[in-house]
Amino acid sequence: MRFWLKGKRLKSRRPERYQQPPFSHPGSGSGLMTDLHTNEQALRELFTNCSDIVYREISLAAGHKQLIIYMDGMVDTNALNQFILQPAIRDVATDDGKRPGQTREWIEQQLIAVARVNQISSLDEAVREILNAKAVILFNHETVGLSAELTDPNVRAVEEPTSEPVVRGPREGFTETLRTNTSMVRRKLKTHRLKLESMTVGKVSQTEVAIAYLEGTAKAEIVNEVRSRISRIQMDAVLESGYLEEFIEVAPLSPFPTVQNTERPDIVAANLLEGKIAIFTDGTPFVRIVPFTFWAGLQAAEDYYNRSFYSSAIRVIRSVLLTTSLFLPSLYVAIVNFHSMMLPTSLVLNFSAAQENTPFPTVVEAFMMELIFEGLREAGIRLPKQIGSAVSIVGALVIGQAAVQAGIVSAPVVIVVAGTGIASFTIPRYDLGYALRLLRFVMLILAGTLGLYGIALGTLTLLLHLVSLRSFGVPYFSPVAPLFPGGLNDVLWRAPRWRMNTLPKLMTPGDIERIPKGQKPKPNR
Amino acid sequence: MRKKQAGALLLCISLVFVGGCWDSKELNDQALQVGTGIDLNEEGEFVLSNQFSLNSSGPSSEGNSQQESYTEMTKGDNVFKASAAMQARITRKINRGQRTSIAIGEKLAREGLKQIIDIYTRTPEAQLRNDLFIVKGGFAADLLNSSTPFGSLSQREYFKLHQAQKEVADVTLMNMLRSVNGDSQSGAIVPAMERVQAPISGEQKQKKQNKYAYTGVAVINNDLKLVGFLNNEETAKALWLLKRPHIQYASTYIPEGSGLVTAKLSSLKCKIKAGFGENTELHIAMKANAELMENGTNLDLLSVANLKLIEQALELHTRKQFTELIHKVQSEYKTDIFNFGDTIFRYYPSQWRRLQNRWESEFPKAAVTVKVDIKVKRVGLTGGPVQLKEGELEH
Repeated sequence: MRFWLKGKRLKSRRPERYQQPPFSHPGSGSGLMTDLHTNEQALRELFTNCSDIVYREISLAAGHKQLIIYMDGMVDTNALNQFILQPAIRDVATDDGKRPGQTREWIEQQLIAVARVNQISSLDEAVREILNAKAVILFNHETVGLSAELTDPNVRAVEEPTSEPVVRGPREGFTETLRTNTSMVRRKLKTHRLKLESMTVGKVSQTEVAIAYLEGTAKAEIVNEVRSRISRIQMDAVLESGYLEEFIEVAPLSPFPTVQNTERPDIVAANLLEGKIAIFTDGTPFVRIVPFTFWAGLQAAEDYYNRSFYSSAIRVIRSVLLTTSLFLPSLYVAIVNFHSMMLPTSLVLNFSAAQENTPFPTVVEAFMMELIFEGLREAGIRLPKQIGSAVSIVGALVIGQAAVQAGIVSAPVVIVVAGTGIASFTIPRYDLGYALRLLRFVMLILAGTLGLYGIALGTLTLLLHLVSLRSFGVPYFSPVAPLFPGGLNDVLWRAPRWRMNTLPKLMTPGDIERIPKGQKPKPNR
Repeated sequence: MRKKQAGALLLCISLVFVGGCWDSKELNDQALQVGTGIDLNEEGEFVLSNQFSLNSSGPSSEGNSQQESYTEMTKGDNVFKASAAMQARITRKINRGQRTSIAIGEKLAREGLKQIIDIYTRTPEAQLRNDLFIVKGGFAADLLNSSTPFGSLSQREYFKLHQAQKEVADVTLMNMLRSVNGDSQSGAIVPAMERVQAPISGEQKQKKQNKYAYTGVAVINNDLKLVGFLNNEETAKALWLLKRPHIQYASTYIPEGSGLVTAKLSSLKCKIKAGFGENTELHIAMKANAELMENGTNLDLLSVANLKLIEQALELHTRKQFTELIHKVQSEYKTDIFNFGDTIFRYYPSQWRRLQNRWESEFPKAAVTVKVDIKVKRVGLTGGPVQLKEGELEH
């Protein structure tokens, strides 16, 4: 197989891998001093005007001192009090003065009752640990400090994902916390083969990014590529996984997405099982999945939880509606304006009667109504929920009925636009819907200028683009073009589980048996 | 380089907008032609009549209003001139895309269709799938001007009438040209419409009634001239010979039962064998199953002897009809509308080569024998007519 990694594209890129620049600030690079006050002074200088940093000094036995520094609100103060402060103060109280001065090792083992403790040896590290919501403990007689993980678990609870609701299926959705999210996937895939590689992206934001894949199932080349692409990124901040997507996607100028996003752990788990790679980003419930193919855009989570008969039927309807959402307005314009002989006589007579008194050309009418519809949709998303119902009233009455009665647009155009709207809502992947919404306007212009010929040209261009597009080396239209007969089990229809015996060929190394054959239920007679 | 490419692309795209040479036509700038008819007037000029649909002004919320229409007539030396004159009289661009049929007046058909057929095959706007029909004893313009109870789009309604009579719906311009143009030198049959005469009280007065009715087919000879008509019954028999789908009835008087028996014939078979002597001989063997529909006799149909009687009577009657029909076509119309030439060409290609050029003169001389074999398969729910008493039945 021709794999694009071997292509010349890679060679033309900068040869050396970009390294994250060292964390830099005045006075950095220095190790910790034995003098606690010098260290404190240095830190206070760095965090000037940072009112949320708390410094707490405690005296230990034998004149030793320890300084606890943490960020208020990010550290669980109760735990800090209970597991770091209390043992230390009690230790001082029971000190009989005979013990030698405690070493850091002793303190770490005897006084700090926290599971995850790291050693830090420089100011740099101290700063980073403070910013990462850990409590940093420095000592006046040691050049090595400690950091204890006491992260406040005060995060949003796991809720049902709002962007991908299902009737049947798990109701949990990702949250903003990376570790919560990875644990949700871990709980579904209990294997050591599930790897989670952690990286930090963003000079300012220092966002943790985790690449998840199933070792042995995911193709090593694709994993390497994802890893290298993410490590190449130079950015100030990553506030959402979309920031990353723009850097790692394959065709940035294509209207079609090459990276999938989801809020659902079950979708991530299912995709990992198929050899895909998930990219978790801290601070967002949206996880990106690569590679993404066109047909994955037609798969809804629920397809896999319902019986294959229903899912297949619905998937067929969905692909018909996908085509409708792209072509209906343009087809209407082209046929009515250019090829009215294609329609049954009664239909033409009705269309003609409806358009008798409308002032604008059909294409302008359709364009106008499509714009208004897109506006309505956008307004519905942006408005606060309480006012949301007002939008639908305006949409239904003003745009639908009044516009027709006032003779501004003809009724068939309203029906066409409404039908297109309904069709576009059935596309399970929101991103793919965006692409089709945009292209609908392009098609409309082509239909208004060149008729069906224009639509044919547009469709041809679109198909050429789609079959030449690749997402991380996987052809966008596979397994249909290039054709992999085994992969068709999950494209336009969904075969029963016992029939989906192999994994998608392009995303996995070689033939991997997924479900052994011969499991079709045969009841005893 | 890239910039140049993009610039060239932009220029090409702008051509579409700047040129403005779009084919785009708004529906409300067009006059939808729903029917067309051609006649010949006394001076020998072509009279073109076009029926256009009219839109009721304003959006109709009820949706049950009937479509209005009006008919415009112009004349000219040929069809194109007449239609140019038509465009001059119509305020909107004429859209001929919805035309489903072409009506032709009898006078024009007798003169020959050759002079008008060209324009209907030459312009891309014309549709070869348009139906043809001939207005028997009248003008196409009158048919277009009349209205039907189902609305004033009369030609559209009459097209539907053809579709209801499924045996003739198939006669499109293309089919007619095909049967006339082939090497078989055969003629064609084209459905005919005639002004209705009320069955009882002379002229019909009620407004809501169809003015025209389907009355069989017109016979068009190889020269595309109308030579005569066949009535409904003859048409059915002709269609049996042509092996086209249709509904066949046979009705005959039975002297033994002193009454009429009518049967619906199905599983129609027709085999033609040819012999080549001095004249061509054609032996036609017809086969059918009969289902009795109406029994006006006093025969009890549960008896086998009676069924035999009826079968024989039906066979005799049908055979007579066939012989008469073929004789009429041979002697009066002298046109092979039954595609016998085609049959000979298919089954006896070597003999056909000799016959081919003089088939037109050979056909009227051909000796045709007809054999009919009818089997009664179903007699319905009762044996004898139920209104008759036991003694009146003939067993």
